[in-house]
Amino acid sequence: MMEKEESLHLEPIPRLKTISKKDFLENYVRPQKPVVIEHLIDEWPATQKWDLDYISEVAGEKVVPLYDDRPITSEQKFNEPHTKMKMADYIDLLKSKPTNYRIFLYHLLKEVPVLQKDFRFPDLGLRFIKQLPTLFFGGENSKVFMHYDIDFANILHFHFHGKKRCIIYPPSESKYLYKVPHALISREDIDFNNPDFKKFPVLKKAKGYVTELKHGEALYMPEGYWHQMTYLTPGFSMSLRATPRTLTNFSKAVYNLLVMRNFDNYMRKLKGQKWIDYKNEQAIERTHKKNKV
Amino acid sequence: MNLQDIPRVKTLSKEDFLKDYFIPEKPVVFEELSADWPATKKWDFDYFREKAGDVVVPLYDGKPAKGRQSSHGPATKIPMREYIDILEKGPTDLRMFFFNLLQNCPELIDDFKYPDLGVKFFKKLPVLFVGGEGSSVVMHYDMDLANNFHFNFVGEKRVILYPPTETKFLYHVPHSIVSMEIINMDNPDFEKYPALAKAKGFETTLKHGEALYIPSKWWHFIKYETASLSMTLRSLPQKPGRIAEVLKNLIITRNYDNLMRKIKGQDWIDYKNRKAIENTHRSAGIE
Repeated sequence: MMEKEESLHLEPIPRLKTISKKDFLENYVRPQKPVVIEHLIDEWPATQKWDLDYISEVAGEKVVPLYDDRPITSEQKFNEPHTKMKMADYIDLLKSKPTNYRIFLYHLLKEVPVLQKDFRFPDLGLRFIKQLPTLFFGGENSKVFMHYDIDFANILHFHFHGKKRCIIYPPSESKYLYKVPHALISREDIDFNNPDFKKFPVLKKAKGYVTELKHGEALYMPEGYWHQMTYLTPGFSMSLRATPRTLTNFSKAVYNLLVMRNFDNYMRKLKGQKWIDYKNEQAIERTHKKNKV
Repeated sequence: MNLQDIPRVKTLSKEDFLKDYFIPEKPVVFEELSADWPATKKWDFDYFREKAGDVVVPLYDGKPAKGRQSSHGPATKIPMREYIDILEKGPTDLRMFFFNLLQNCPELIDDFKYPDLGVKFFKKLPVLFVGGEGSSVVMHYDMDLANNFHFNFVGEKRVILYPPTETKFLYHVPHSIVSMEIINMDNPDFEKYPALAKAKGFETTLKHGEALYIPSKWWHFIKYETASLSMTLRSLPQKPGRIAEVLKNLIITRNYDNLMRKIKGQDWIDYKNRKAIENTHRSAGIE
């Protein structure tokens, strides 16, 4: 019988019922530490109203782009969707069976203004980008691979309908995470719910956090934090984004957006699958070299 | 067109530049800012043929993107050497932009220096722009709302600038940072685009060794009078409101636009161009 001898080094994300603006800034934003706030949005209409049936009712006719967790190939550009369907059909699919199809970064709130009345920007001392609430949907067991966000935003992530498991790592752990060069992701063949330590031994060194986010809870993710999500039930989340606090992180965001993304798309066009394979090999080589494996 | 000449100076002290141009966000041409740079003497097409001749560069032409095409696809990719041959042969609409010197020819970094103008430069992005005689760059502003310092080394280019206050007259295409590509800003058709007559802008012709300061969020149109090679050094905006706007441009505007192109194709592009005219004529009070 196989015994599991090793696991990821993950501690629970601290949890609070509520928090004052002052405490939030001092204890979490300034030191860039994550936290789950369980009752931050009890007052929002969304907390009462939002579930998959409600979304289907108000946005069922909208055509939405869908992504699954197939590995990236050179055929696609950065963040290019895999298919599209009507929101109502997608929600039926989500509810009926486990599916890998996810929606992300979709500007549903812009398309369906009635949803905008159901939430407000919390008064926590963060400068939110007002145009930017985005919704993310996932079916049971669907996963979002380990990545960090291109814009180095401070993120408040709210979950609705069911629960999802969030594994996060601070930027300091990048060197252990098999980061793919010219990209913002870890190798996609790493299963963070059950990693293959033979192939990816350095993961054992990374120190991260984990939580199960339930309906109505808010997760604060600081700038540049790595995150991997597993939808334990069908459900959806909303992110509010706030600008990076330092010129250094803002510069990194601009660089990623102007250069990294274009360079990567260009290389995919020029070299095709070889470029993707090269990057994946480099992810292992560079991580092992840095860690003398 | 209602255009006045951009003020010209030989060079400026840090204090004067900040007070008279940078803080009030006014453009200025420096005639001798880079006079002591090796680049000002050395950089010509032969030099780049020698230093970067083998680098394969993406080239863009003057045709607007159609249908489901991405707005950012290059027309062709060839070694720099062959591109320079084309440029020297005569007029061509092929342009190369955002060629990062740090990435492609790091040794050239020693040929210039960041000017001491009291401005914090974003040093990871010294980028070259090259174009053939007769080519032009559509009227646009930069997504990152950078303060640009544009140094011209080879040839001559006409630059037209408009401040952000004139956006309403410029046939701004919604969900984008460009004016309608079909408008020839060098010599516009005022019957079709009458609001342009109301826009108050600036112009200059940049010659060898001259540098232009383009303030954050200013619209710019460029016409290559001859084949030309220039470099932009950028300084990112630091006001919190501008930073938020940059992230909105970079994350949402572009993704949303690409998505709609994918879902709706040419209809989306036609719709946006219709809106560009409607919106502009409404704000300019034109029936």
